[in-house]
Amino acid sequence: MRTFWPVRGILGTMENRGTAMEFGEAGLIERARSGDRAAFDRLVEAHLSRVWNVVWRILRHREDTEDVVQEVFLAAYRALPAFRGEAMLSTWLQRIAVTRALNFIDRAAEKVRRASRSLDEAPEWSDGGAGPALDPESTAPSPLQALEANELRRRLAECLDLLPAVWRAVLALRDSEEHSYEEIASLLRIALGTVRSRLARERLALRRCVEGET
Amino acid sequence: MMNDEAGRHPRDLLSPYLDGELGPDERVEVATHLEQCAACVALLDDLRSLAAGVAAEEPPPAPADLAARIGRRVDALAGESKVIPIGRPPWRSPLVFRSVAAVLAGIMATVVWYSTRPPTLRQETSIVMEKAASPTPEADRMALSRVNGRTSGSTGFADAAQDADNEALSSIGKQKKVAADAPAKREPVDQPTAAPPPVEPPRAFGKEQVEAEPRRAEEIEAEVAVEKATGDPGDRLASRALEVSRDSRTAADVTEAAPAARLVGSGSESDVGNQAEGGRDVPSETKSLSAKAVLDAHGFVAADLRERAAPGGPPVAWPLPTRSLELQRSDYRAVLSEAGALNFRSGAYECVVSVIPPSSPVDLSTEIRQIFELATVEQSRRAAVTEEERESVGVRRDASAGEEPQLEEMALQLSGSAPPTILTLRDANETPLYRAIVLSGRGTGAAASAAPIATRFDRLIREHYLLLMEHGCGPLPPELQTGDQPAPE
Repeated sequence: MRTFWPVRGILGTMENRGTAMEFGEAGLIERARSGDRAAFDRLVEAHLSRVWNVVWRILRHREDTEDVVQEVFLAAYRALPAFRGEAMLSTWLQRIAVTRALNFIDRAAEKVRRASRSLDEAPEWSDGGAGPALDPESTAPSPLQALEANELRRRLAECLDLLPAVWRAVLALRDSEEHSYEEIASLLRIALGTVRSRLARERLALRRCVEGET
Repeated sequence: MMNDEAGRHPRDLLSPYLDGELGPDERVEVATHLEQCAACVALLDDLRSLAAGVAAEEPPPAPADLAARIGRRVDALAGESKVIPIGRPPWRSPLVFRSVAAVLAGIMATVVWYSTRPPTLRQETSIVMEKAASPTPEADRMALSRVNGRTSGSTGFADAAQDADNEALSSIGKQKKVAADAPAKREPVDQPTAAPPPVEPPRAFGKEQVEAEPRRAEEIEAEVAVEKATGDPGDRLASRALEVSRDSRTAADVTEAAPAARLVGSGSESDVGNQAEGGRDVPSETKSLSAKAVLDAHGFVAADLRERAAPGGPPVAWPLPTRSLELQRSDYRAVLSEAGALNFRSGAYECVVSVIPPSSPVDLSTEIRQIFELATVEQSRRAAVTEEERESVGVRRDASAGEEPQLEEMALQLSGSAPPTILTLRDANETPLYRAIVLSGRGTGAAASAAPIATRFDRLIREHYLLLMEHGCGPLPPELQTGDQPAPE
């Protein structure tokens, strides 16, 4: 049986996210599946911060994140009997989290539109490839590198707020959760090529945004 | 590949280079370029800083009682009965529903309702279809072959059928679970997504069909004999399953094993139930298309939410000038529009769902388009058949409404007492363009060609739409719930 999540991903998980329960939680999962409420609660505790992380990075709104995270675990509870352990629970949860967060954004976008903010006011995110022509001989420091750390952080946060949610999802899965492109493609159920081109575009767009702010 | 037109800088390769996701050739290309281009080195540094910055950003802390709150809600959920009542649960009543929908802001709804009355634009709901940017065919093939791990022939159903045989299942619910036990497996793309030439399966089936014609009568008899030989539905299913698995294993090309006909009787259609309210908009990131432009492009009209049709009546028709594909099986009936809206009915459960990429992480437009292309090919191919062919069991070329009962009657005689699987392609006016009865096994003329369409359609529903329906319209009848992970999303 082909595995979708290579060892590197698992090790990454262990190191970065501290969900040390990943390997030991098979028993918990089994008990939770058979209705052990306490076991499920422990799974929630173990995975809450990571789900929170992913959802917040997509929504960037604390209250909305609270709502969606709850929905994620409720959905997980209902679907747990069907979870067969072919993927890690954390990855399984992330897929639920990403989908729910993105769908939530759509609803939110509807409300925002009703508040008469026009689509045309959204920033120019479609083209992430253009920019000033690169001069191979130029040794001028990049404007971004010239930014002071706090300033970079501030601008980055503002630009991420403006980024379309789907792009934020890919960024979160890549830069924060450190999934491979293949894992991301599987998680989001998009083509591998799409992951690659989307990431490239959005990073260039992000860079333009961070540099361009005055 | 993708180079900046100005100076052949591999801009788009820097990001995957940073992530270590380039193939060896591309990696060398980029590394070589970086040795000569300070600007690209600087760009790469920028990307690296940004990636680090994104990673380093700390979300606000979660509330301390969040886990406890989740626990309480799970308790409430655990206390509810898991059986779907045939009658209307309280939350389905219109008045309660509307207030609940207004309150539950956190629930995302991908359910839209279409009305048979002239639609009017209403503030809180609008349905917009946005055509997803299709991945390149190369990417498709690459993605599918890598992610799904299969390059030829679908044995998903064959495996399921074998499991069914092994477990001697008699309940349709478990059969569904096993049949759906193929996470994220899809047929490989065997044609470019650009200009659609006829796909492989129909051509292959065309050949088979010519060969199979003389055998048809015998095979039908054989099937009927199998029917009669084993009285128990479970055994019938099992022997069909054996046929299917045998057939698919001997399939030389990418023909797909037909799903075993679902012979167990379906639940009766009683109450209509189910209302849901919601809307979908063009996601704000697709700012290049105004909502109106998208609507115009796809010929939609925005519809508001209305009361459902009368219970037991035909599925609600939506006033969209698109073709639709209907799959009628023993356990459900689903109508899919080319625009991606699905009207699903099973017993007392009914739901209308729309999937609009790219805001959804699921990109279904390609799959939907391919399914319709298959059906179109079939339709035009069958349009050229002889009169004698038209009399065959599996095909009715231009069946009108009046002829439908005859078709089903014929199919019933063949398959026994249970309703057969029927696939119908209709135009925008709901006029049937093409119909086929899907029987098990192969070699039954048009039915063999319709089988892969039905299979893909069914798989599309199970892998994607069911989850959305469950979210938007409530839990599915237990017998339909797939036992698969990926989980509801």
